[in-house]
Amino acid sequence: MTRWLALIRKEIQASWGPTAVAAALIVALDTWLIARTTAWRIRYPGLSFGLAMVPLAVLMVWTIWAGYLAVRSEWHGRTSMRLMSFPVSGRTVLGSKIVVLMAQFTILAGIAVVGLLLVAAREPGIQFGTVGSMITTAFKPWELAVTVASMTLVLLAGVAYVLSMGIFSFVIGTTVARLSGLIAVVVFGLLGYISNALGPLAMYVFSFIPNPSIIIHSFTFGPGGAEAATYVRHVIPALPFWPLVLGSVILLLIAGRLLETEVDA
Amino acid sequence: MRIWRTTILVALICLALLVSAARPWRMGTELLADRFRDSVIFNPGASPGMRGVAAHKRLAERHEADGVRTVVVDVPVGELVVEGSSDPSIGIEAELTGYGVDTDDARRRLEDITLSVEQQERILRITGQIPVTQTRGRSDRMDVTVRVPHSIAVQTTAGLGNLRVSGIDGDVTAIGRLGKVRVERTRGDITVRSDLGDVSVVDVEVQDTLDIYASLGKVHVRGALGRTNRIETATGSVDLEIPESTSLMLDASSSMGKLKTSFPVTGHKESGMSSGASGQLGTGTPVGSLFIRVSLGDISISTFPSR
Repeated sequence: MTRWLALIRKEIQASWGPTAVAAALIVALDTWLIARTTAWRIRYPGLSFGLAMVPLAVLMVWTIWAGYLAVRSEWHGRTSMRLMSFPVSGRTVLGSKIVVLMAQFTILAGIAVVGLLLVAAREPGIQFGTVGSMITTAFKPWELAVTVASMTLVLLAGVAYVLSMGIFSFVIGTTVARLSGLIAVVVFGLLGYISNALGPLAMYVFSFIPNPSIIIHSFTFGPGGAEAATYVRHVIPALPFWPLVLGSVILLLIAGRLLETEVDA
Repeated sequence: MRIWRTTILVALICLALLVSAARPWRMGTELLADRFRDSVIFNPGASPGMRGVAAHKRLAERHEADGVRTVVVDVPVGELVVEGSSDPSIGIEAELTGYGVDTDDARRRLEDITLSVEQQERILRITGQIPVTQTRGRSDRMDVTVRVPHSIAVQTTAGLGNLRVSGIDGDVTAIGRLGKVRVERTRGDITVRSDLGDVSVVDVEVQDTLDIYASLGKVHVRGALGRTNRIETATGSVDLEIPESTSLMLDASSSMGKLKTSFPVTGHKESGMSSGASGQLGTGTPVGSLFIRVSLGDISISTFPSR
């Protein structure tokens, strides 16, 4: 555990600089957009909101590459090999990497979402107050809390899975040194295809155990009479959660074992 | 050990070919649809009224109106109608509906729905309560009609469902959370709040103050305005039909929309997508004010009766 924490500390030291720069860029962009929203609200309604979503889109793309790049830099620097000289397993090394990458993602996504909400609050076409009022009218506080927590869990599980795919792809890609990038892309594509193909079956299997739940409400308004307003509460199990967690664990275990065999060799 | 990585790569390719031939997503999707057959999420064609076995109960009672100046009605889910009546007493009719997985379950839920009536000095409070005990499924509801003497003031709140107030000479406050709000044939001051749903205030004679705020929905007003009139809507148009003799100081603007009027208006201005006016509406000496704010939608002011 101490060694794992030491690895985490090492990863944080290596990544806090880029994270701080990225966070500063997002804050600067959102501050500029907030300042421009009033001027743009007439001529370019919605433009500020659209631009405020750019950091989130970039983060999504970054997630695809981050796992790959994190292991590649270690591999090329042979630092992972040196790390293996400690009695630390490959999964521990990769586990520390993925934890820090997820922390990076959470911090940057959190800043981007707060910025997006601040920009949205100034956009006349979005009616931030109205949306907020509708949400607080329809949802009870505990329902909101459960839904937000569940969605966050599923989002983080998805990020973990994509990062694991990147790590796994890089490790398999090293099979042929000269074609490592191409093989990694092929492996990433294969994993994506297989995940989509097996996803519904996996979700069905895991639907028999407790899942995080998302609560939504549906309303229908009729012309009048007893059925004029029908109100139905739906509790939707977030079925992708457990398959994503299991998939991440499997990919990291295999990639970690391959790292160890590389050192042993 | 390159052999392991090569083996895994080959295994991945074989697995991709296998799933491509077997198409397991079809079976998975069918299994999910069967397991969650009541859910509109997994089965878009499913009825939204999942587990909708209903049990009903009717209530009817009368209350003396002596000393009552204001009736306050609060219904969380269901239709609410408050009507002015020539009957000197206050009549309450309600149909309570409980939904359950079977008839016994629905009846049990029905027992938890309550409609209480209590008088506090000059205020009569009629309060509906629907406990939220279920975690999923259709909400229980109560459809309530209250008949009050014309002169009594009414304050109504409808949580989810349409709200209608008519034939009241006293002041009217109508709050609709999710549903349409309609106020008609009233003669006192009018206050309307709506979170989601259209607002109609028709055939009214506002005594002094008209105050309407709609978050998301159209606002339609037809009748004689008072001295102080304020209409705001975030998203939705404002349509006013007022007597030709109306003369008011107007302060109206739409951030994204047009101001259209058949009245003479001074201070009309348009800029980009915004439109508004700050001046006098109508001719003669202004006898009050009309303040209109719309974020997204048109403003229309026309004569009533329409030409």
